[in-house]
Amino acid sequence: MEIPIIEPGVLPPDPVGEDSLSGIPRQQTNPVRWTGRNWSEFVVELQQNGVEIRAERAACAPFVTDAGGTAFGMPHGVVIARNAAQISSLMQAAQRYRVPVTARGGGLTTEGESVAFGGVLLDMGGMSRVLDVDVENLMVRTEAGIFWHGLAEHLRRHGMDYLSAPLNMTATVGGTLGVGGIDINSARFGCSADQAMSIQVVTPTGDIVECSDGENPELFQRVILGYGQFGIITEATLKIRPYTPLRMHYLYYRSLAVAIEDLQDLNRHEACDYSGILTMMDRAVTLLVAFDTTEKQQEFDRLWLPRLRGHGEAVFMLRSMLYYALRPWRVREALFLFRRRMSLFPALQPAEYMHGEEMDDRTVVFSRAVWKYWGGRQMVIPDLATNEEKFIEAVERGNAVCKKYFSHYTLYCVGIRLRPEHQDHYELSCIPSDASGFAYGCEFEPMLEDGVYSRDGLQSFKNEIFDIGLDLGGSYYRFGGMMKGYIRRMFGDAVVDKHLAMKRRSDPAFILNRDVIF
Amino acid sequence: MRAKDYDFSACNGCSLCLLVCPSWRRRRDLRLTAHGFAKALQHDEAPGWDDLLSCGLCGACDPVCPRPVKPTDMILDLRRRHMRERDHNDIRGQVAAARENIARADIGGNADSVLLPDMLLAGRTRLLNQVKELLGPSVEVAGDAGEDIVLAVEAGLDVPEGRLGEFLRPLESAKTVIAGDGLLFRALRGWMPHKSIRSLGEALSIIAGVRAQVRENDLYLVESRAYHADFPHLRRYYRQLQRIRDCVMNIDLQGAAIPTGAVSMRPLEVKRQVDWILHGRHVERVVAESLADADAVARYSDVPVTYLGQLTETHAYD
Repeated sequence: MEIPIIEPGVLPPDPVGEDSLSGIPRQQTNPVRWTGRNWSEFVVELQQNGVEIRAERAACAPFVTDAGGTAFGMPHGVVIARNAAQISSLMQAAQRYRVPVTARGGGLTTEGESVAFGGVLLDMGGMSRVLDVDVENLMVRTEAGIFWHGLAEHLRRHGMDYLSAPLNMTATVGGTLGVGGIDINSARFGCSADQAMSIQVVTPTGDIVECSDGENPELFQRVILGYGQFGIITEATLKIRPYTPLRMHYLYYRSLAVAIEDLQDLNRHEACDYSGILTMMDRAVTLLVAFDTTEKQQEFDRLWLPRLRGHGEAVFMLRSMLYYALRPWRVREALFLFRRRMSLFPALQPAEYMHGEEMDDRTVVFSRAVWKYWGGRQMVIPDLATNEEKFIEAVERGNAVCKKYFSHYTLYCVGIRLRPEHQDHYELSCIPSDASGFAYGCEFEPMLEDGVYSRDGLQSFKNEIFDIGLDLGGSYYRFGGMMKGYIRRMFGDAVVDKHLAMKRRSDPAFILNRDVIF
Repeated sequence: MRAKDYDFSACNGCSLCLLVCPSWRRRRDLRLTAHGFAKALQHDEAPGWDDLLSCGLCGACDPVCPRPVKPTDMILDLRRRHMRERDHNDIRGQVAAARENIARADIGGNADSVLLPDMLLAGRTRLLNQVKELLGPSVEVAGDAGEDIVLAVEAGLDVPEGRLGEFLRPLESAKTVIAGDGLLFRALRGWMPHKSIRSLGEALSIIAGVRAQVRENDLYLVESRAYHADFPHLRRYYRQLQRIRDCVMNIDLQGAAIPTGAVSMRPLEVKRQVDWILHGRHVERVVAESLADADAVARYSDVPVTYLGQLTETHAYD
């Protein structure tokens, strides 16, 4: 059987690698590793241009997988990003020799999007300097490979903070601007990507371009939320704000639907500064709300607390005890919830970060808890993003899928305020095309801990969640890499082919992050 | 000092260690960090000696790692493996020379506490006497402060059992051992788990007269190796100290103590660390728990600096 050569950027009906066993149906897993053609000449040219590339195993090994731990690929070599000119040299050479380049920030993708299946792994962590903090105008200019937490450390010295960033300290600014960045204050500030005022980009052909809404807006539109297809973000100007500790409040629900309705009501009326839902399965549904100021909290207590249908912890505990007393066959679940509550709650309110009712550095607190209680050798976090109206159905259906596959899991729901003037950015992104005002996202995260799960099993779970998205219409946060088979099905041929055409124009050799979207 | 069951295979690449790693801050090269070392090991690659020396053993990675990796133990064990496989005669020579210089004075049987000064403090007699006076009459200064042992531990050389026994035996009778060197503090906690081991920084700063001299506009420079070696306790302790004295500290948002990196087999870009510690801080003075840190601040910044043990003096640090 002759296996046709497939050019990059073309989706064959059954995308398997040239080395696959013919006739055996496969799910989309790892892309085939780039064969290494022209590698030696490419390296020589890089060295002549002063671009250091490291090919030894110890240099490549840290990048062999991402946070998901299910996609594995070894680059041929690693380049640590140092400046835009260096990256420009790299991209020009990569175009000439058709060498794939995978840009990686914090490596917090889960579907292999930041894994290099051969070629160059460009480690953006080398560009992590904060260039200028403008306290008066509330802006910061930073190199884009910086961890959000590194940025927070720097801004704090000036009494400042970023607006919004993923609840994970080791996400990078550039990586986040490329995919979205959702936080519990996204209902107020929008996704992290929406706070970028301007960026410096190295295009796939090596041009260094400054872009914003007013300067090179077409490129700005493509690169923000662009999944790294149209350029590498090397610097960014972001909005900032004065740092404030926050005051957090938890309400407990028995019903996902009721909790979501209350969440959406709060967001619509801007009743709090931070909001989100975190669950243990569908038994402990927690609506968290938080405030930057005492005044906002007092207003919430006065106007909203009486209206919301959640309860304080004491009432919730009593109701839970009664629930499980009547259902003794679910005692293991009850014990799990109890043990988890006893270990997790102190971690979410550690004494060293609390001053009375105020919490300092919530991202440190939550990020640590995420890695400690949800982190492991494998992480799968399929998600659904919908408009307001469809969200409850999406979450309930996703919850049913979680129950089918796993005993223990968490749902994490947040709202995202949309910027009407950024509609063009949102095309082929995590923002659903039918959303206006707010979009809502839910992550479905099983607690794998260090259990052993087959990749096929995990892929089946992810596929079932994503199938809900296809059915309802919406989008996903993590639709690249191993999940890219859903892109054309979700967004349609017209949108995908339009972006594919743009990609081909901007990246003629199709070498930048080639296995992520197309 | 034995490895405490570290587990490099547990590393999932979360990169939390990078956020506190001075080597990462300097070089932005993942290879030269605990994360990089663990991943190299996962792929049957042993990090090279030069790479291992990029770690200053500040220990900040230990409390932030959410997995059972125990990065500092891992790095120390990797150094030990290197030492067993290679000559490194220059380092062996340094340790041997340090061993020759050890005084053999016995500690009196009535010593409540024993002070093991670090190398710099041991070499400044006037300061050492001042520190001893501050700590009180029930504290004796050990003639054998284990300088060779500290060097050996840092370099990854095995400490002969006989030598270790010789060093530890006189300490058995003391109620408390006060360690001036942060790496020795860490090692002693492993060798003498039932003994009260205190860092010199804590022992001095707990003295009311010393503590009262820490001012609101001071930057109090916590010695990082000891701090991270006893993180849960010392985090609480210094948090309280900070509250009481309302000073600034070199503690970052994760609660890690930012080191100067001056105490290291291969100090690299200490100026950059000092600059970062001071960046954005409007302080009138630095109070340093460690002489090496005090020296570094004095060398690389214009901010007046005082060693903690001299805080009750009226003249400036020299």
